[in-house]
Amino acid sequence: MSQLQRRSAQVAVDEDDDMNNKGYVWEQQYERTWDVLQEDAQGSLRASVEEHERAKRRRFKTQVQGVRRGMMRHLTIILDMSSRMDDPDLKPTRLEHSIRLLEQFVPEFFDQNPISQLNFIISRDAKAERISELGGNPAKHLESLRKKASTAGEISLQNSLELARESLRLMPSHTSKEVLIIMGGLASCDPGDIFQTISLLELDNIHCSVIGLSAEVRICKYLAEKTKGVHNVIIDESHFRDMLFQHITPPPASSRTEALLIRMGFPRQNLSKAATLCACHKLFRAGGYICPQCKAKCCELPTTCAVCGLTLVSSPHLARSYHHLFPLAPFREVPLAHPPADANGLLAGLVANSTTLALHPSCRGCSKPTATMRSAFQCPTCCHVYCLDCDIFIHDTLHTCPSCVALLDGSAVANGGESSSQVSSQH
Amino acid sequence: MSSAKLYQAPTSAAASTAMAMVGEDDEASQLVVVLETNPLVMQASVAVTAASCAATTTPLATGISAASSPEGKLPFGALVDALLLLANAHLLMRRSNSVAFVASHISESLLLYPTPEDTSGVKRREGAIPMDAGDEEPKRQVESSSRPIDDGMHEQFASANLRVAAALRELVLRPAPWQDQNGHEATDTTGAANGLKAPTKPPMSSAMTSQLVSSLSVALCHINKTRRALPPGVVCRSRILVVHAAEDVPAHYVQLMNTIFAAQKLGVIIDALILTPDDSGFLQQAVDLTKGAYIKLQSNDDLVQTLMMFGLADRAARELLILPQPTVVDYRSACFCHRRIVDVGFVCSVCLSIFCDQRGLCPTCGTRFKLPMKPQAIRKV
Ligand SMILES: [Zn+2]
Ligand SMILES: [Zn+2]
Ligand SMILES: [Zn+2]
Ligand SMILES: [Zn+2]
Ligand SMILES: [Zn+2]
Ligand SMILES: [Zn+2]
Repeated sequence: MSQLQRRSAQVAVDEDDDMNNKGYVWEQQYERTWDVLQEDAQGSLRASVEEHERAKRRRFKTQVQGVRRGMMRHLTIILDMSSRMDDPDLKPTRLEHSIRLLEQFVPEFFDQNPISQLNFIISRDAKAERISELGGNPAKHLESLRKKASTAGEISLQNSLELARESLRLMPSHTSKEVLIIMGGLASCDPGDIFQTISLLELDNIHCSVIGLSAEVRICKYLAEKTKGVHNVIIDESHFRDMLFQHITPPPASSRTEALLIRMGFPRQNLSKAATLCACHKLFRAGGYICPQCKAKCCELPTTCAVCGLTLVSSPHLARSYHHLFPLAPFREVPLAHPPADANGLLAGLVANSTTLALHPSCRGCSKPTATMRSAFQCPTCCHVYCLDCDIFIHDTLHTCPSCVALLDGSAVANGGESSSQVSSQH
Repeated sequence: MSSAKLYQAPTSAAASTAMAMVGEDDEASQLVVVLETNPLVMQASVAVTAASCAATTTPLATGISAASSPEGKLPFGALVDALLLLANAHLLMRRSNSVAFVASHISESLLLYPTPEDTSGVKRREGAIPMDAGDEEPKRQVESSSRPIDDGMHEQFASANLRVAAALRELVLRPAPWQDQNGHEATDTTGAANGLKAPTKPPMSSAMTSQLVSSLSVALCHINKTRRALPPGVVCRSRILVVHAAEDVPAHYVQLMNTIFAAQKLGVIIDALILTPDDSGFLQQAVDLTKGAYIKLQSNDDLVQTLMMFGLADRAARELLILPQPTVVDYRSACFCHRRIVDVGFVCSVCLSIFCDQRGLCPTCGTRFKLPMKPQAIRKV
């Protein structure tokens, strides 16, 4: 399969996910990807292909905005280690490829969900095994995953789900409880009635999502539907990555998730250079943080105080999640280099371009001249324009519009007032 | 020569030289200087006078240590001279190194250098029409020559110096955003009809606050852009040097944290040069989270020396240096209700707002809370 065909297939399925399954890829109209190809100034096609792809990605990324999200997550990842995971269709094998992706996924997960916890369950030989406890240390999870990486027999969906439910159902009700299953096989070896397990999961408000590596399995789809998870079947390596990484964004908070005020401690740094006993590892170490409630020392944040059980965080941990709660509105795409097809439209397009150039001479982010852009992306709040690169960067990584900052009332006391105005405008 | 300029060269000959360069050193180092230029907010720490701005036109020619304003403030001209000196030294370290200057001006932030003309390899003079076919020949001549110009300075240094100085001068003369109320009214409506609206005018109050956060995000956009232009295999290590001359703006806290996390993600180091008498809580956090240097000037005479010592050090050199660090970073949070620093606070489980007392309703997201939870129930099960 050539690179281009492959890409177009992938793009088509991305759209599929948006529209909730219109049909199979081969039943859809053939997408003429070459129609969008245009030579750039240097006579190269590469740039325009790339731009097309990234424009698609941009739309895919910026679809859900302004929903309440469950910021405190407890996620159990169930990894299939049946013999089907030895298939070499993902390079080098399905299992190795999945583990490599998870090695990227786990740090990113904690980066974006700093006060969340995660654990792993593996399943092989019709048995399920919890290989790490719910916790916030990415290295520990990945280490145990590496240690256990070998395949045998069949996956047991029911056993794994029961095991996941066992630990998740005890979690406080204001947290978001999720299960993510990476399944290579098409069959599951279950000891009892899996439908009963599924209805119990539904009752406990545990959302189960499945990423299928081979094909759609009826029971997986049913599970995801019942428990309000998502079910995806991958097409190729990069699609697998996309499907896995969509679980990094916190899910919308369900109506059944309770809201609570949680007591948290903001510890001070321990300034003394002398090594003192820490409460978490029972080791003598310098530095660390002092619990404001019981004055015990812990080594890293965020954590739960080993002595008094107070949740200890620092303000950057909370701030890391603010961009999910106060998301930047998607920028509006305004085509510049492509005037509309009909005669009147063409004229209007040209007029627009000249006034546009006067109002917006360049991208606000990188100062790329507007005249050289195919499309401008306008921030709906401050009405400044950005190029495609900056738009993607601002929405994926920066989460802040550079010129919107200037619109904020600097004399306002603090973030509290500012965020509340943002939120009230959303709800 | 900026790295973007190197690798984006349109001619095939230039492209092949770029490829040869990649073989030579596949690591580029980028220095972005974020400079406060809003005279309304920095008068407390830096002396901005017409005379001190004029000094920027002849960079490096003026005696840096000699120029000190009567009240003991650092003259703006001397500051710019020192920064240009640092930029030149940085460019001298390696051929693929590049610099950029971002200004936090009144109600906006601007990328002073490199401008798009610099990066696309087209030299454009004021008023001249760029990219003429006839213009091609002399342009290439300028491009290929690295001969020193008359005062013995490398051509590229001179161009960076002159451009930054010219852009700064232009900034000082430019009217504040609220002063040209009449200009855009007519174009505004036509623009809206065709889909693009005119930029919203920032409120007056923003003129009195530092646009540091805005400049940091522009700097990151520029870094992202430069990296995208690099051929695969070339790593670009970037540093941002923030010249802090104004007060922190608490209203920009969320945006600041977003930029710091973006910098962390890109592996960008943020260094801070503090010219204000007080510490900056914002930059302490930025420096601590990105593992940069927090430079507090002892006296104005040390400026160049300090900049050369810490501003010039790249990642490898930093492992051998003991960088000045903020003594203690206060990571405690202020409650959203009274802006009081809290040790133990109550956090809304939906929006993570922090309050100093228990309440039934979250004013930030409007969520009603259940009965308050006892602390021991949070304990991990
Ligand atoms: Zn410890
Ligand atoms: Zn404690
Ligand atoms: Zn841009
Ligand atoms: Zn904006
Ligand atoms: Zn309060
Ligand atoms: Zn809230």
